[in-house]
Amino acid sequence: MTRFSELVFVLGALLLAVPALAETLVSDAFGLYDPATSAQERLDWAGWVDGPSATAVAPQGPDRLMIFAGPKSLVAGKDRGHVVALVVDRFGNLVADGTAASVTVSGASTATATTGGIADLLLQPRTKVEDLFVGVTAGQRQSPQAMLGIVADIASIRPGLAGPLSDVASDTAFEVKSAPLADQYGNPVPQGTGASVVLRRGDGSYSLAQGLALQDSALIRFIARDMPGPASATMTLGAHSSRSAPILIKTSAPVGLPALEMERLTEIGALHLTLGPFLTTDGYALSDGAEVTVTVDLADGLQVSDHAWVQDGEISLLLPIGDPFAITRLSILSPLGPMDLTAGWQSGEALQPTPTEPQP
Amino acid sequence: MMRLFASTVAVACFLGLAAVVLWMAAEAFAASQQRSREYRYLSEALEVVDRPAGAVTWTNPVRPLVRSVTSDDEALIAAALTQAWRSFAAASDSGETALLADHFVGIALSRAQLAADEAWKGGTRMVVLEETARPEFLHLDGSIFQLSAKATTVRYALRDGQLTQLDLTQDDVLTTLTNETTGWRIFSQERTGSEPLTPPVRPRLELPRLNGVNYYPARTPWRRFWPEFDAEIIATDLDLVASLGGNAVRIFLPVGDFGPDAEGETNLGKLGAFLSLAQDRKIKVIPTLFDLKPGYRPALWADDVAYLRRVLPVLAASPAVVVVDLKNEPDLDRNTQGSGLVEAWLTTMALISREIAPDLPLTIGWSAAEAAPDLVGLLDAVSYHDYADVAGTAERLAGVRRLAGGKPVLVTEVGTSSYGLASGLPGSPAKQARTLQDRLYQLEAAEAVLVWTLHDFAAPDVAAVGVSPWVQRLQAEFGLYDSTGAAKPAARVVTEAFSVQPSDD
Repeated sequence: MTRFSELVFVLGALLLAVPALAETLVSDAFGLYDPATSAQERLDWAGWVDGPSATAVAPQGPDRLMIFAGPKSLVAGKDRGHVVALVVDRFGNLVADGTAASVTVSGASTATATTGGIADLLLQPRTKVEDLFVGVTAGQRQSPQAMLGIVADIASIRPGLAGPLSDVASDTAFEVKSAPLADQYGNPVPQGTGASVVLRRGDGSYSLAQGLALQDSALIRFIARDMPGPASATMTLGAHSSRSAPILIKTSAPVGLPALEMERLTEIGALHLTLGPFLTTDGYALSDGAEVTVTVDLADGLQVSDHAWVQDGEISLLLPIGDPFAITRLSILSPLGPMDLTAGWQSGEALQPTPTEPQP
Repeated sequence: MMRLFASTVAVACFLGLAAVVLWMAAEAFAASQQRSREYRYLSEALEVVDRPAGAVTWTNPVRPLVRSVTSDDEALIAAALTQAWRSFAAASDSGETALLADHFVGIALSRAQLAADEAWKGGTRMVVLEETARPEFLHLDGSIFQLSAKATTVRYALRDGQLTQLDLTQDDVLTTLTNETTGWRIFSQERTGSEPLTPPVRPRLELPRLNGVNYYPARTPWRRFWPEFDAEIIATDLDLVASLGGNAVRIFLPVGDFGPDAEGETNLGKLGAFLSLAQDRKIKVIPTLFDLKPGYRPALWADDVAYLRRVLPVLAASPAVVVVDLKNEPDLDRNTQGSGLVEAWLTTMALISREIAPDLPLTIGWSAAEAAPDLVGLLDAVSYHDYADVAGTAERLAGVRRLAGGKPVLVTEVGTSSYGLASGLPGSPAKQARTLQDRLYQLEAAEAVLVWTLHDFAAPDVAAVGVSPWVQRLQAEFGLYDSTGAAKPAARVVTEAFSVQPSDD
């Protein structure tokens, strides 16, 4: 009887005790929880746990390594690299301070230890352009491979032009090429590095073109149009420019005068002029797009001027001149130079009045 | 004679009926105003939180880092931490854990989601109130940052709406953040130690007998007080209080006027000026904090702590401040907010106030004597407001004193409106004076009595008194001085009462 009553008492005490235990909350880094009802995984979170008794849950050994290597592009001779791994146990806890780790850079390992779950290695600047493959090991685990690239020190590249520049015929494509480009450590310029060339002429005008480095040099293309005469070429890469080199853009010479054709439009008091073809000594007519300015002097002292662009070797324009016989001078200015067409005009070959429709 | 009597009764009945009809119409109008309100924009319907106050203070790293932490880095990371823990509190409070992905990543994200979900279901909450952080590690390319911090953190549990556990601790934490495309996010959060923040043992508060008023300028009450602060008017009003025989004023510091912005900074200067004006006149000040605070949701507690960080140093620096009223009438919020939540907030703010300004005495301005004994152990003085039946005033005071544990008992609001609709109903200046006289007489034994309020107000603030026209009219005429500045009979009564109970100062 006594034993039975004791058993009843113990059972009763247990029934009362269980709810009391369930009410005991524990605190961790993310709040309060009831260990009796919380997700099991929460009990494995490392760190300080406060409850009925305060304790520190220790992390386990390395299980996963997340690698962060950077900066990804290191300038030769200047930039340091940093290989960092976050090392956590199988529950995601940062491993204990002092956990042994090893950082491998292109096959060479360096021993280190974690602090705050972090193992890291600082790489000193390297002068040779190359790709560095890095990884971290802790315990029996390895991080994925990461890569750091050493790139040429572009800021130290001094561009130069490749040899004397040849004379260039007008209306042709020509290239200005650099001498081999390398940084202060002899590393070739990275592919695709931008460079530019400026052609400056004596009158202060200039032409600019951009290009990219291929292999070990940069190539910049121009079309020699409307830029006749001597010029000086300068290549720029980054903050440095080459010495200037002379270049001559040859001028095309005209072959005779362009044919002149005129139509009198009496209804609107205008002349429709057609000039061309503009023949050159190069064997082809003046290129499309070349600008031609036509200037007409009239007997009353007025001057009419207009311009047009060559298309298929000719230009065509409309001048507000009602009386073609009042024209005293007709001249043009084109990339072939100035031409005076007054004589041809005065020969009257092209001057034929357009028949007008009879008025009703 | 009988006919005269009958006609008088008829007129009285008519007037009474008219008053009742008018009162019902006013109530109906007020109710209709409160039930339906149209907004043009969604933002108008929400409690817009201005730029959150930073909850992180930085200290210098102990060992050199491979990359120095700039002030911009500190600002960005502090904002990320503040927003992360604010969102964690919000997720725990709402069960909406999806928003955590904006602030946590990796290990910390899965842990935060699990913990917030369990907190939501289990009625527990954790709020990181503020952190003092020290940089420990910064990746050379700025992609990983690790800090150690002293994080002031409150954890509490509610069961059936009642507070069952509250732990305010200073945790040692190790936080690892990664720099994602959308900014810094917490990758790992581990607690390495924890110490409870225990309130210091307080000596008994000795107070002079405080006689005074609750104070707003007549033309700029409630939310207009600090933005339209006029030192000349306030100086004149404080002289008026002194002329009544008063030696104390109770003022209000709305949360919106003391924010982490330029306006808040300006208003702190005005607060300092007010305290100087009071000190010059030997008038003690009871500042009431967190006025017009809209709620108690834990996501905003860090902002409340930041408010305390701004305001309390100004108050602690002034000898005019005699006791700080932590919150006006928080017991009225229990039904809507939950008594456990209100208690958790009050306890936390009281303990944090002790940390920030250990020497500032604290009280809470309960709305009624029945609530006054609550949290008495946390406070230096017990205070309540007495608008109940005048007949029981002395008994209520005696009851509070019995439960006050020997602490001073302050009755920080008493008063009655002189507003009369007709024939002295519901009030009149004479009736106001009589009621106040009776009330003040019964409160002789209190350590402080402050009358609501010095002035009548032409336009009481709807944010404080609501939109009911009836309540508005009543609230407009609680003053000792009417809208023309003339003393009402109550002013004489108060002067006499204050002279009978001279200040000990």
